[in-house]
Amino acid sequence: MKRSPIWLGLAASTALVLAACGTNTASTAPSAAAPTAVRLQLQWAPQAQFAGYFAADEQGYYTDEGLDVTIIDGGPDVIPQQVGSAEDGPEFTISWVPKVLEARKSGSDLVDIAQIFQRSGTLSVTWADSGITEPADFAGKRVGVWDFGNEFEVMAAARAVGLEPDVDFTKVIQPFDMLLFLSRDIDVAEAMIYNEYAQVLETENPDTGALYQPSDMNIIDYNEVGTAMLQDAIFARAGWLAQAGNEDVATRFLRASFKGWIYCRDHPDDCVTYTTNAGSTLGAGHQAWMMNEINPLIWPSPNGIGIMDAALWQQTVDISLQGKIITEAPPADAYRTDLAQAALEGLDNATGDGFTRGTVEVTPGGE
Amino acid sequence: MPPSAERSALGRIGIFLAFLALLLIAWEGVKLLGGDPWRSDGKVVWDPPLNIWFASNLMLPHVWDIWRALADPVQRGTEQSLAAFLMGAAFYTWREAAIGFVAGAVIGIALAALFVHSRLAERAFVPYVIASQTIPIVALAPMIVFAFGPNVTSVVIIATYLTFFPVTIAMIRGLRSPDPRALELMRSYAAGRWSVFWKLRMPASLPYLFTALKIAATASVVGAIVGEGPGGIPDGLGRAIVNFNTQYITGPEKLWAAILASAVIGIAFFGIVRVAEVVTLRSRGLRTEAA
Repeated sequence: MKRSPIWLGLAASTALVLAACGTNTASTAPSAAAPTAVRLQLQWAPQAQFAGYFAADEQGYYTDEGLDVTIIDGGPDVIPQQVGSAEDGPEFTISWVPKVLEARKSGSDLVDIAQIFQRSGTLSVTWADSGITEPADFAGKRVGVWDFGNEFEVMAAARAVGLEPDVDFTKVIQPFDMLLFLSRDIDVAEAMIYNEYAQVLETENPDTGALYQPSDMNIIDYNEVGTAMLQDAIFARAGWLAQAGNEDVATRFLRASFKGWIYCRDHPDDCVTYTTNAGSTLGAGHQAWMMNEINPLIWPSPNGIGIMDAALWQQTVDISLQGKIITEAPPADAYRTDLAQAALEGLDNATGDGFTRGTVEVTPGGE
Repeated sequence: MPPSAERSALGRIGIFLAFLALLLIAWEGVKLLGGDPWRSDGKVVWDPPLNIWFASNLMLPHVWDIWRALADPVQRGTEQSLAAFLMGAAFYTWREAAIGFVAGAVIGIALAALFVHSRLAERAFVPYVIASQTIPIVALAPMIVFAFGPNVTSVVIIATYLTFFPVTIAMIRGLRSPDPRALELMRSYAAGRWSVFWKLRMPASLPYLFTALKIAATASVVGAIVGEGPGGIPDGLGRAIVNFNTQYITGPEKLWAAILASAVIGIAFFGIVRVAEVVTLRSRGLRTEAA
């Protein structure tokens, strides 16, 4: 009997794999000036929430500061404050303040070196016909919240009016989409003003054949309720900052990032393009909405972009203590403003005086 | 190929297409009975009499909407269609899966060879091999990424991890499958372990190996897609699924399209292994049962 090689199958697979490996030869050539290589861990997959960093990259601000910045994407399974706490982890991490406070409890030495967002983007939305317009109305309702530390603002607002989750109302863990809200399986849904809220507006109402309208919904804004917590900030490890020269690297990184955000304040359309360049499936219309909503979370920054508002820090700590996220107040060096202050030197209008929010047209499907 | 085999292959494709057509008819039939109002140019052309919760456009988009989404540009202002984008992403993910698949197969065969030759090793390690598969991959993947960094290496390791197990288990059985009389014959020729392994055990294990490889092929694709999440890999199907998932309500058909793409690479990879199986086993005069 004629025989072909026994391991034809394996050989074929191996050949396929070798071919696959062969195309994986991207390498980085060292540049003449040998810039300092640093990494930035994003909190989520690329979206306009991080437009300032994409702009700093595309506008060459990082290069101007002698930095070679690698932007590392996040996602639902990425815990940025954990990645950024590792000793050989990224030098800079974008995360929310309460999440880092929690991580510090288990040994992380991340320090808030620039508080980019001065306001919280968290909302609860309800249907207009539900009559739920404030946290006191949660009583007896199904209240959707995200977990992993995203639920603190909503829970604190409910407790402030004497409502306990799973006693006075049903707490429902909501996936990171608005499906439960649209199908009316929950009465109250958590939504970021720059993302999920817009997604609802970009969706066709099957009863009318037209998009859902802002008038279809009530909005509970936690900045107004008074339980807002500080969100996107730039963090670095205290251990890394203590090494010689790294404070200077951090200052240069902050200056370039601030310039990126200032650029996005003044040229939001360009920043939408930079964002969609960074993630090829993002809806451009949705990113335009997001950019337009991110800017008012940053601007105006009364003390300059990146400078901590001590009162809001205290509010964040208080709610974290009350929600038992942490058991004792963080030390005073959990945030610092000196690096951001140094980075602000020489920047024009870094406070965003006279900033007014723009308007963006909602596109069906966010396209 | 003899004519009868040709006819049966054609027949199989025919049956597959017929079932696909039935599936699509059932899909739209449910929507016809209990979905959202059907609209054309904004006007209601059909208002279904019932209200079936999973038949809404949000849960179960129209087949033609999924089809149209595949043909439409993936993003405003770009030429690339969603189908082309998903094919690129699927190929990227498949490459990770393929590397993991080969690594997993080699590790699986090596482990099985060790266990077959050493009872001690088998007793000591097989429980750990089994235990390793009870750890959910969603729990393990972030740890692997934490250890090896957010890069393709981690994704390949995760794919390898899902691949080696079926190969190990099937090969322990396969390498033990030769007829005892054949083993005795080899012994009477004073054949060493090495020649018994290559001349008797390995050839005898081939049907077991290919059965395991077919399981491993689909598992490696799952491993690669799952691993791309914590791995932060932007170019594969994992990211596409995450993006379309978080934006689900504004474009349910896109997530369905991504699921379709995942299924297609799984089936294609399975098909490649199947072809290798038929070629290898037929040339050795062994029977190949339908996959």
